[in-house]
Amino acid sequence: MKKSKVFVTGATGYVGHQLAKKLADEDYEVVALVRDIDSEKIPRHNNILPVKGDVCDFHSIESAIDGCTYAFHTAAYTNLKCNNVDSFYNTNVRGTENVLKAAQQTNVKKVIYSSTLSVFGPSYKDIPITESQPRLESYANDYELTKSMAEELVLDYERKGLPSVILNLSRVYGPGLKTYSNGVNKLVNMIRKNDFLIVPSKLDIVANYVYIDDVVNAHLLALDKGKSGEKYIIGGENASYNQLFKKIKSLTESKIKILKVNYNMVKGALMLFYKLNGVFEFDASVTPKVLDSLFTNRGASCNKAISQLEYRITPFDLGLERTINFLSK
Amino acid sequence: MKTYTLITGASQGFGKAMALEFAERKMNLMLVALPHSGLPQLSSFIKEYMDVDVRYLELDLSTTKSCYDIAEYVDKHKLQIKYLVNNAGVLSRGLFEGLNEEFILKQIAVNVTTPTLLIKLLLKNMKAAAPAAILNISSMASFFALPKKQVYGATKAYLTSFSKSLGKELKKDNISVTTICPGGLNTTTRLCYQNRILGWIPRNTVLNPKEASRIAINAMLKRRKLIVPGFINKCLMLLDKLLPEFIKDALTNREINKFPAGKLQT
Repeated sequence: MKKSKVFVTGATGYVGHQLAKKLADEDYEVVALVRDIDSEKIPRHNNILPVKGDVCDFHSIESAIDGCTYAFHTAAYTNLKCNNVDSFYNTNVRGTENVLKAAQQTNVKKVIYSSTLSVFGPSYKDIPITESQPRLESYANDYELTKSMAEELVLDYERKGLPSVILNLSRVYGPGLKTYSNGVNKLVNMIRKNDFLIVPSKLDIVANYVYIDDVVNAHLLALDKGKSGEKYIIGGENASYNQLFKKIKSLTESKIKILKVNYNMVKGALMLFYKLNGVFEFDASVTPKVLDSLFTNRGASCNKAISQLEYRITPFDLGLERTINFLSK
Repeated sequence: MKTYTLITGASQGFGKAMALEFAERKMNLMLVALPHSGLPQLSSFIKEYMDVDVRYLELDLSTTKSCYDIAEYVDKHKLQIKYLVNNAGVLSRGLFEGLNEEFILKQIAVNVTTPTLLIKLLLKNMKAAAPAAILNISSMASFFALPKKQVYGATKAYLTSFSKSLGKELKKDNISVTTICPGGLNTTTRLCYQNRILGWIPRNTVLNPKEASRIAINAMLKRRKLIVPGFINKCLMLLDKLLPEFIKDALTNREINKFPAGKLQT
């Protein structure tokens, strides 16, 4: 028997793509809002109906969402390289408000909003971030800021009667589309293929890594068990860059040489490069802002999701192994 | 003896940054903020991880009763207040004609009445902890004529002026009074966004709360009378003395009109 009809944004993104596939496999009827109906990134499945639209265009959402029981809003502007706050604001804040407004109008029973761990800012010393940690630093970039504004909107609509759950995803890795949001996959590839890698010297920085299948499961669990108005950190294991490099190196049997360069020198070089970039149009994949964001302590705890959603973590080594297998295909 | 720093409006923005900065410096806290603004969470986080004692009260500071409630709490729990930070404030909301009366009166109550009354009620307590200090959070708006910030700017001008005179009186009790006049601060998400779409000069006058809180607390501990944080802000203060009126008018009007009034009004 067919399950309910669900609305998904961001199906051409890393998380949304895998989520739409999983929902379709579970026999949900998926309406996927996509900007380009011919995009190769749209998951193809009998239960997935791609509908042309844009989160920035309210009317396109209004007609696509009609008849859907649930909504998953994973679409976001994530390109930290972008210097224009409007790109972030339009997609992440206005786009979210459009989705919420349309969901409210059509009496959607529950909205699952995919947010980011970075809205909590850095962790305090080495204490893992929890849902109750107050933000201790101001917003480091436009992505964090606009995702926080979007969360405020979700909670506003929740208070006005639209059941909603927020998921704060840590750093996602694992099989899936090659997009801006899976840096770990990129790193695995670099360690597999390169002879040496230049890295900034702050290798004791800790981040939390979550396997893509766990993220997808968390969305389904949130639909089923998530309490409206609550936020859940969806993460995996915490690891420092030292540990991460070591793990990937040994799993890929790589003989890569890792060269450490003083963090500020790397940042300075990037700043210079970035300035020149404007003139010469090189493609820099890491900007000073991206660097700072990558080198911020963000250890986290997902105990709340584990106890309240029955969320389970794929061990880091297992997840990395699957990722490496996927990437070497 | 165990002493406390009392901070109003401590749950968010600049107040929160100051609470964290005082805690980093191992000072015990007595925090006051509106209900449902995240104060219990902040208090328990600081208490658990930063190794200081934290008391808190959730109150609406637009009523005088709240001030008496604070004083009563301090008395009842025998807290010794060494530092008092009057930070709670209501920001501006647009043209005078469009503001409702209730909002204006509330703004005056929170920005003028409350800090005045709190100092009055806690003065005796603080004398016992001398050398003690009062830190009043004013604004650069207290120096300039700014449309859309009429009442706000005037309440801050009151606070700046009140602090200066009071400082002279309290010298004999060894209580210093410091006023800090920040320009823009990246506090709420909305203000962060507004600050990011400003022109180059005003954007660079904006400080992060953490940075501003360090400057403010250092100034208070050095018993400075008045401080404008940030280099560009200091330049603006100097320029204000030098530039003729008509140029200043043109500049303020230009910047004020840059706010996308419609979409960001509450």
